[in-house]
Amino acid sequence: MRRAGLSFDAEDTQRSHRAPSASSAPPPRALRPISLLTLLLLLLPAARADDAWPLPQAAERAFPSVVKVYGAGGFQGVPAYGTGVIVDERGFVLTAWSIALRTEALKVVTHDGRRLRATLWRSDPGLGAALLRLEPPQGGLPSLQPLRLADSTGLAPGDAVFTIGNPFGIIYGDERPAVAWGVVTAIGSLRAGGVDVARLPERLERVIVTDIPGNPGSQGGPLLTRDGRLVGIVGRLVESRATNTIVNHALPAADLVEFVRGGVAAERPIPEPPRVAPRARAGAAVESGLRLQRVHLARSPMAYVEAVVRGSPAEAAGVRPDDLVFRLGERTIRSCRDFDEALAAHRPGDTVRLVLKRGDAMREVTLTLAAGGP
Amino acid sequence: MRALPLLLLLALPTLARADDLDAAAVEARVRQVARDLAPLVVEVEALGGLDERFDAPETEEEAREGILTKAGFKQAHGPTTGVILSSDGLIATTTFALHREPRHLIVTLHDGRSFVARLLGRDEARALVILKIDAKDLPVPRAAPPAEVVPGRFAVALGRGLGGRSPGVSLGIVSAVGRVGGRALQSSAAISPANYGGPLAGLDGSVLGLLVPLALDGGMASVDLYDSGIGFALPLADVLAIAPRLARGEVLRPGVLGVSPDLTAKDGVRLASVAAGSPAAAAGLREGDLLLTIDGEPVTTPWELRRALARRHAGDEVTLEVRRGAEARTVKARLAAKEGE
Repeated sequence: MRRAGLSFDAEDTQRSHRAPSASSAPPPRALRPISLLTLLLLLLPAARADDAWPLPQAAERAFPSVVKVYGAGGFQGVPAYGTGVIVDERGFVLTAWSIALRTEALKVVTHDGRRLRATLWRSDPGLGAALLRLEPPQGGLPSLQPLRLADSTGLAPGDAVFTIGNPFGIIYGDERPAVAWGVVTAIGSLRAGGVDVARLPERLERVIVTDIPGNPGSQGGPLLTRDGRLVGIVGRLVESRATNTIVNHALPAADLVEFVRGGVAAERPIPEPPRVAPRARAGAAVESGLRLQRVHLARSPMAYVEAVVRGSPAEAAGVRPDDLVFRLGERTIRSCRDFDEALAAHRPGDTVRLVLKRGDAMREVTLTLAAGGP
Repeated sequence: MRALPLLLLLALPTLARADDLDAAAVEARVRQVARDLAPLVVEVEALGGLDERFDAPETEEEAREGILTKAGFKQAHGPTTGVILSSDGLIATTTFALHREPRHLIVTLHDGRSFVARLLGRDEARALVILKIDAKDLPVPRAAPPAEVVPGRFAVALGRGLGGRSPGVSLGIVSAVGRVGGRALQSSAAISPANYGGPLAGLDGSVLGLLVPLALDGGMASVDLYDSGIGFALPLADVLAIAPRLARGEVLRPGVLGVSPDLTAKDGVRLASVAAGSPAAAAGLREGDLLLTIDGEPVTTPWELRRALARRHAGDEVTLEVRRGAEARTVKARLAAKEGE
C-alpha cells in the first residue's frame, strides 16, 4: 500500500489509508520520523509577497526575445499570426511549423516594434517546428537578444511553467505579448492522448502537455520554467477526440537543439523534408494467428476473437475464441480497426502483450508474432 | 508517547503552512502529490454500447463535430478516471463513463493490472457512480476535513483521460464551496473529460473531492465548460458517506418536496405555494406555512432549504417542523423523484 500523504503530518497519515467501510477502531499510533523536508519547511521564513514568485523577473528577461510572426492566410482555421523566439543573435527565430509560414510576405515584429521581413529558413512538419531568418534591413539587423534552448529532460508533471504569446493576434507593434502560467500535465505521446495523429503533420510522439490554455496565435511562443529557462516551443492547437479538449502542448527543447543548430549553420534555406505518410509501414506483414469477428457494419466492431489458427502464436499463448482483445501492447483496442493498426506497427519476431477479457476476468498473455503471408 | 506533544507542536504549524510556500516548494509539492496519489487514480475504460456503433470519427467533419448525443454534450472516445475508495475494490467514478451504455467496464490500476468492473449504484444528482473490482489491499484516499476545504487553497486535479502511464496533472485553487445546490466545490484547475472521475487533491496529499462532469445547474457539463476554469468536485467526505448506499446497488435521484418558498418573506421560509400531489401536499403542508426545520436542522432562508434538499434524495423521509399561525406541527414527507426521472 502506498502512502498518499506526505510524511510531515504523521497524525493524518495514520488515519489516511482506511477503507470507508472499515471498522472505526483507530489504528495503533506510531511515531514516524520527522522528515528532513518537514524541518526545512518549518525553517522557511514566511514568504514575502513576490520574492517567492520568480515569474515577473523571468518574463522580463524573456520579453526582448519574443517576437510576433505574421504569415499568410487565415484560411481553414489556420491563424496567419503566431509567436516566435529569437534563438540566435544573427537573426534566427524559432517558431511552430504552420502552413501559414509558406509565404514570401513573412513578417516578424520584434519586442521594440520593429517590423522585419523574414524567410522560412528551415521547416520540418514532422517535428512541428520552423526556423525563420530575419532579413537585414538597410543599416543591418538591430541588436537581438536571443534565448538559448535549455535542457528539457528533467521536466516532470507538476512543474510550474509559463508561456509568452500573441493569442488571437491582439498585440501590435511594441505591445508586450501575454504571459500565461500553469503546470506540466504530462510528458509523452499525443497519440496516447487520443489525438488522431494520422490527421496531423506533426509527429507529436514526445511532447510536453500543459494546463496552460492555448489559443490561436500562441503557437511558436516560448515555454519557460519558472526561472526562465527555455524548455520548449508551444505547438499548434490540436484537439483530442479522447477528451474533446484542446491538448495544450509544447515541443521539447531537447528535440529542437539539432534542428536549430543545423539551420543556423546552413548557408542557404534548407528544403523541407518530404512528408512521410503517417501510416506507411516498412516491415513485413505479421501473423498473430488470431481471427476477429468481423461483422460488416458501417463502423468497426469490438475486437472479439472468432477463431485461433492451429499452431499459431495466438494458440501458443492460450488465446481462445470469444476472448475480447482489450489491449495490445500499451494500446487500448476499442475496435477491430484499432487491433489491425496496433498489429501493423509490429514486425515478425516481436513479443507483444495482449490483455484479454474472458468472461468476467481479465487475462494477460504474451505472444511472439510470426511472419505473415504475402 | 512522550514525544507526542512535540510531534503535534511540529505538525500544527506545518499543516497551517501547507499552502504558505515559495514557488519551488509548491512545485515540489505538486510533483509529490502527483506521484503519491497516482496509485489511487485508476483508468476506467467503457467498451461497447454506443461506442460499438460510433467507434471513431471517420471523416474530417465528424472529427471536428464529435458525436453529439444531446445538446451541448459531446461524446468522448477516451478512457475516464476513477478513485479507489476501499482496499477491497470499491471505485468511485462518474456517469461520464456510462454515456455510451457500455457493455464492458474495465478498470486498470496504476500498476498496470486490469480488472472487470461491476456497476453497483449511482447518484444521478451528483453524477457519481460506484464500481467494484475483485482486488484487495488497494490504497485508499485520505479525505480532507471539510473545514479545511476553503476557497483560495491550492488544488491539484489528476486524471487518466489523456492515456499514458501516469495521471495528467493540472493545478488551480479551490474557487468556492457549496456549489450546485451544496453538492460540489468549485475549482479553477483545468477540469474536463481528461480528469472527470479523478481526485482533486490538496498540496498535503489529502483528497478534497472527486471531479465530476456537473454544470452549475446540476445538469451535465457541456464542452463549453471543459478546462474553462470552472469545474466541480464532490467533497470526498460526501462521496464516502453516500458510497455504502451506492455499493448496495441503490440508484439515488434528486429529491423533490414540492414547495415554492416566498422569496420576499422576511420571517423565514414561508411557503408561497405547495404543488398538488407533491410530498409536501401529502404531508398536509399549505400555502402560508412557515417551514422551520428539516430533520431538526433549522432552515431560515430559501437557499438553506435548497441546500438541505440537495443533500437528500428521492425516497428519503424527512421530518419537517412548520408553524401555521400560532400552531406548530411536525410532519413527515417522503421526497419524490423529479418529473420525468
